[in-house]
Amino acid sequence: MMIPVLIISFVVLAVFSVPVALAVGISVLIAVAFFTPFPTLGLVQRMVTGIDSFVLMAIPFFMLTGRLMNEGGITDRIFEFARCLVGPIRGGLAHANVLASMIFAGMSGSAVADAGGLGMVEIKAMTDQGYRKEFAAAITVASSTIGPIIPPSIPMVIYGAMAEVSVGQLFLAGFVPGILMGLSLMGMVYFLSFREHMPKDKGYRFVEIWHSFRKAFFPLLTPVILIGGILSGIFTPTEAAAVSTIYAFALSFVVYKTVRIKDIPSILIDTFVTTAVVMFIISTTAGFSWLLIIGKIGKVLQELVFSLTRSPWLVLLCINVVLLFLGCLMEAGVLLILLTPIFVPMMTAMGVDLVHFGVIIVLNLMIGVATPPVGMCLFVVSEANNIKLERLMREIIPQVIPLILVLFVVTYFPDLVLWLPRWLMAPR
Amino acid sequence: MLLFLSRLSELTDRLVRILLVPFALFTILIVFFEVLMRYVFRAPIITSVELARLGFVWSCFFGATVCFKRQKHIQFLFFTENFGRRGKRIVQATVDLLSLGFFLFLMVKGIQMAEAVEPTYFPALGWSQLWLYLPLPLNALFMLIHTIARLGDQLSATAPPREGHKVP
Repeated sequence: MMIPVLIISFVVLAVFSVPVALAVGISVLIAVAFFTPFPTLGLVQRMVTGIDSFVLMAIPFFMLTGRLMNEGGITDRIFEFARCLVGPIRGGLAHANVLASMIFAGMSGSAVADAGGLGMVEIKAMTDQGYRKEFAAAITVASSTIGPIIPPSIPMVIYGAMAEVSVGQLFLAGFVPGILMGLSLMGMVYFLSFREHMPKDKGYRFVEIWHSFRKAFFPLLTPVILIGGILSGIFTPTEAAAVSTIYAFALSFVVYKTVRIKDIPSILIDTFVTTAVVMFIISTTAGFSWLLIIGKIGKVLQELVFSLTRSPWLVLLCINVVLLFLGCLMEAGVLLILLTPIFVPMMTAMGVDLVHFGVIIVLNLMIGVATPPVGMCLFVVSEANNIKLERLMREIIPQVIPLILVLFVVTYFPDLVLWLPRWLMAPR
Repeated sequence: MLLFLSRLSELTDRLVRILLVPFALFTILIVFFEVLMRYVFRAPIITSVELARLGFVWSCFFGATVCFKRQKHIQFLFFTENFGRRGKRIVQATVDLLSLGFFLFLMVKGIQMAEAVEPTYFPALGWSQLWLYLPLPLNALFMLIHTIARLGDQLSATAPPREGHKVP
């Protein structure tokens, strides 16, 4: 009785526009108070211990790094460098858009930071060169989904903390899928470039490429510091996030002088307010997960699934379909926080590697941020560029196809995801 | 009375934003300096993790309060946005009343929890665990103030249309 009450009350409250964090908290409170013998003090305790995590601390740090990079004009340098590399291909600026997102993904870790910051630079450059604004916006939205796949990644930090999986391994596992996403999007751009008669840049001389590389050199060091530091054991992912924040600050404040001291309080407040949106949900969801464990929901779900099939591949197919569907309807962060405690026990029982599953779930949800009707990046880009949402929604469809193909490749070829963490983080 | 509540809510918001900045800055700096001290000066700060955890929990709850004031918490509007003006106001008032009850619960139980953990200590810092649990009832109080002020606005029918972090 407790679990149906928990779920029904949450759905009713959420549908009636109660903020998700409060809807979860209130439904947990009702379930604990009336359907368990436990004191409600347990909910309060879990709300604090749920966010008292050194791992989760990486979330605001990565957000702040992305924000400082955007404020500091670093994104322009990255885009210029990407343009020099792939600009001369047909549809060059669209390719540069994807490549710049792949590079920026190594610094930020948030799709919205990519779409909202780097995306603005990319769309302006593309429309100036004669690209249709809707197409420029659509490729920006699609490429922004690479942000949380190539390390660092905010959703992977959340998943790692909730599923108790190594964040370092998750980061490394995201490399190959992220590169595949980029290449598949570039393939689609190349395919569309003939139909759309896309322009291309003149060939760049080596001196020009070298010059743009020099301009982007310090920002390009960020992923090297991050991943190098984690792999060499110098610091943990959270410490890496703090180091990258200070590095981004040093670049924006000292080297490029684009951020002033008086900007810092508002940047900090905005970042922590955005973080709090996720953290408050995680806080109340800690009680939700506790009740799911008490209600043995993982076991119930597992028995239900096992009565239908024992094939992990079939189950993963169903999970992909469910996540793609839910990702279209609900916000990615909310889904990740709510579904991780439900799916992880089942995956463990089925012998699916939790690092592999982490990449699958995050990739699914990132496709969700680019798909209508509830794609956060769609909203950000359409609002910031004054493009009708319906037109952007139509334009994004061909861009999502390669991402879904990559999702299925990643799902059914786990070695593709796992070889890098196994190789680089194997116990020595 | 309504004006007083509104001013109290604004004052609380300003106070929380002022408090958030040093806590957030401290959290970042302590983690960074831990790495610096450990690898450059070979003198690790043994209390750094506990200090960072404290700073982070405080910053998150302060952030949640500012977020609540700005109505930026994620909510689904696809169902209620089809309601008429009167329907929307009823829904909003119900949401605010539910929030009020929940924050009241968090404040009372949060204080009890803080009292319960008061005799326990952080292993490295030696500080009472009270400091870890205190931001919850404190921010529940702040959010309670915002909710009451918003309800007051509702009653006087001057409430602005709900904005926030919409998920249509």
